[in-house]
Amino acid sequence: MVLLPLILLGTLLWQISKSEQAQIRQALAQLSEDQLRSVQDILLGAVAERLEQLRHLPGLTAEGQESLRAFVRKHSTVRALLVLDAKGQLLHPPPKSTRSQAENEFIVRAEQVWKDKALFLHPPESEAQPGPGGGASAPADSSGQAQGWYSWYHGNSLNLLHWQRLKDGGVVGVELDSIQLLSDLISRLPSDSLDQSTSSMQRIMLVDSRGEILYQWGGYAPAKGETPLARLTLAAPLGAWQLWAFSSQASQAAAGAGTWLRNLLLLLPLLLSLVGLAFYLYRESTRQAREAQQRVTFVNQVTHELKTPLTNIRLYAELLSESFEFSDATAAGHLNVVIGESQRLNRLIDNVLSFARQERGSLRIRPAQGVIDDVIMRTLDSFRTMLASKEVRIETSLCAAARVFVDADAVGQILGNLLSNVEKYASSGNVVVVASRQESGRTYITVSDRGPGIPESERENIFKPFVRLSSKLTDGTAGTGIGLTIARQLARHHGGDIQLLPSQAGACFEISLTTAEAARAPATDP
Amino acid sequence: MKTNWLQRAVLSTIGIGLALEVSAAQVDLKVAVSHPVVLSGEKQTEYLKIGLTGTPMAGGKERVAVNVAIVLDRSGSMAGQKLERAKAAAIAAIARLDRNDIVSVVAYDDTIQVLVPATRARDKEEIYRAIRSLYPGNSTALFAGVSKGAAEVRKFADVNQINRVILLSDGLANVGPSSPEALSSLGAALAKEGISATTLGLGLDYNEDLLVGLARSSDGNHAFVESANDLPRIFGLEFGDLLSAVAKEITITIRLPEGVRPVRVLGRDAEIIGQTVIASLKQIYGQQEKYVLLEVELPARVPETNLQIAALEVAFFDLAAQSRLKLDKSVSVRYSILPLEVEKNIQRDVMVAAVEQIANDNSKRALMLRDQGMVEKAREALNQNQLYLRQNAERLGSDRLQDFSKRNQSNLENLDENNWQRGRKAMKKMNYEVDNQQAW
Repeated sequence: MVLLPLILLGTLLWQISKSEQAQIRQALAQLSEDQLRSVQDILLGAVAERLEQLRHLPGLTAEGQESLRAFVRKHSTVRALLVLDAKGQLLHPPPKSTRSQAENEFIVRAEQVWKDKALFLHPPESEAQPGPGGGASAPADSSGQAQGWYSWYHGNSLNLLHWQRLKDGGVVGVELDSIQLLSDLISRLPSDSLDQSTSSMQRIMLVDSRGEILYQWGGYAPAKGETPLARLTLAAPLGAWQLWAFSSQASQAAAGAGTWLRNLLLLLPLLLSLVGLAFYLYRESTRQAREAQQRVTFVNQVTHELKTPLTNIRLYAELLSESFEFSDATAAGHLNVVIGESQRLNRLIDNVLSFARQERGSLRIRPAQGVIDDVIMRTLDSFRTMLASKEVRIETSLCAAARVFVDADAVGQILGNLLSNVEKYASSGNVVVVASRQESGRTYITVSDRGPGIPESERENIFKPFVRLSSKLTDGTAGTGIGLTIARQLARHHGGDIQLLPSQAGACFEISLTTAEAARAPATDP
Repeated sequence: MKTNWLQRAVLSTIGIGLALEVSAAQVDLKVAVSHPVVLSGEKQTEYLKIGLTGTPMAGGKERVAVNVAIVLDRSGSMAGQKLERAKAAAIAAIARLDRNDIVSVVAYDDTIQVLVPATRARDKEEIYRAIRSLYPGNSTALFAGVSKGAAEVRKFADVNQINRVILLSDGLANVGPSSPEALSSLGAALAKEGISATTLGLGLDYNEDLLVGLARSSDGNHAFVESANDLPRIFGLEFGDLLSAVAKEITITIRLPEGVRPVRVLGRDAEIIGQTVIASLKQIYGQQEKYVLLEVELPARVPETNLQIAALEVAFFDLAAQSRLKLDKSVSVRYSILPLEVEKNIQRDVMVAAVEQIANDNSKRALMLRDQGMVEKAREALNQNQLYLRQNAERLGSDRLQDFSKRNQSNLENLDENNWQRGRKAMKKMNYEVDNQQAW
């Protein structure tokens, strides 16, 4: 019972730390993305500088081959140069016989460009379309593609071309030296310091389209196959490259353990006290159970201790009364008193036992085959002497002779309690009338007397345990106040009840019982 | 730089003005052809050697400042003696710089650390301290290391001084662009900016194609440093070159008349466009000769005709004069019907250069064969080369060719599996050294 909240708490903790972890990671990812964007700015700045260098190139195309060659020789950013006329004919490099080896190599390298040259001359109206070699031109301004980028693969290497339209409709294109570009970008990107303690626990990588590292910086060395915290594909024309950011804080182990552990430590006192409480409650409940068990055992033992000698007393007293020929009526009378008192004691003990059982919830009715009237007669017999000594006359009207299922002891106890009350409190009426009747599975027994009766206000109270009506007559009379309580319990267990019927004089109790008819059995009546 | 007065006298009596020495400040230009007299009647092969020698700065003239970035490999494989020696060598070299020189130190493993940002070599203790703090790391971002080194040089790059990146590497580049093509491209880009890169390969595990490629395209030096103990000496030699530079950004333009066909330039990279040949060097060092050797095909002519076969223009930035200077020359030959006359007039040093370069080509071809696994064919090629060198060494009485043949022999012995890792590095270094006339 305590385990469940513990489990729930644990799960809650786990969820919290996981979401915290996710939040931290997200925040770091955001930070990293911003960082990558500012790195991208540096890189695109370098590209912009190159474009600046190329700005006056269109003018240069009019100055002839040597000027163009000198341009290529001078600018480390430029690997090769081409000029096309409006019809797409190659103006530079010049015809084969007057080319240098480097220019020949460029022609070979750029075969994809010749196939796609339509892109520069008649660029599409709509979105830029990728060429078959994987290149695409990006329209620069709305005034109809004055310049653009084109990239293509030759073998394994990626080549980058920037083209500009000339006034006469031709095109001048510059193959950027991508190695030089990379080297230049590297020179603008951060490097590290030898001092490990101040080095940042992150790493940024510039990677190519295959995920190969081109350049990296930062003190943190990510594990093989670790996923980057943030990624950024660079804007054109560097779109083949990406920036990846790694952070040691974001790697699961560090964050996860940290917050999970921290939360655990914070809630540890609570957990401990919960566990302690569980333990205490458990011990408490078992203690009560233990004590209850002890009480039950005690009650059982006491009543057993009491009943056993009592039974003996009765037994021997009755034996004595039967086997002894009394010449002296006084002795017989004395013996009757002994018997009667021991019976009373027995009844009292039974009441206590029943009460205890009722409290425990283990009061049971054990119906067996029997005849109600016989039970009534037996009970009356045992009270005859006592009632006679109080000058109470017994009148009976018994009509419950059917063979039914009945708990004879319970009925006897109920009746006994009522008769006992009559003997104690209603003997002034000098009569007790016991009547019984049966109808459709129920038996009704009434016990009425002509005693002082019971006040209207006390009609229900009398059935409550430990309640004894106080009056001058009852003062001094011993009683436990549980007789009627027991009687009612028993009656109720027997599927019926006891009620105090209204009467003009004295008290009239009606016992009702559920008594199912039993099959005819061979006569065993005594 | 030997001036053969006798040779010159002979030539001048023939009356053909060529092979005159022209001195303009710090660079001596010497142009010669292998056969000043050629056989008439049929096409002839001719070698044209354009030699440039630096004249050391006269006493009293201040040496020109250098702007150098030292890029050190601190990958895991450098741990221990290698890194310690490298640091010591760098420190010793920097000790030779003076107040006007600019130095920077960059270290690379997975990432780049700029130990000493470009600064005048004044507070040297601070610089040494930064270098000493270096400790080994992980892998090898060589491309980025060179890039950052170049960035440091760029901060103070000036037309008036030598701008150099010195790269030390002991292993394979594995972070960033790592192919010889990529590094060659980088070298070419740096060269356009006026920055050259010297590459020092330490041990037996570096990629010699990569390092030679970078040096070649940017016209720097290259060294195969087998043992870390050699590092101080090598650094010393490199700095020796740097501090003795007299000219930079040298462009040699050779215009050939119609009929004279440019065949190839041996050794160096050059542009041949129609009848024009353009070659460039990044620097000339004092007391060292660098040359461009052009093979041409001369047209058939009748005897006793003269033919101007080339018009030269050498433009360069003179570091002493702190200005751009130009030298012009033209070269002519005479046709003769007499083979003996042709023979007698052969210019020995041009022939030596020609043989040297041809033998170097043979050596390069042998290396390619060996790379393809054809060990026997490579051996055969080198054996033939050996013969070629020995014969010509004798014929021309050249110590230089004798030395070459010794090296060729040792290359021959290193073709087998056990030695090839070392042998290949030695061979590539030698090939580059001959291409570039590196002095060490």
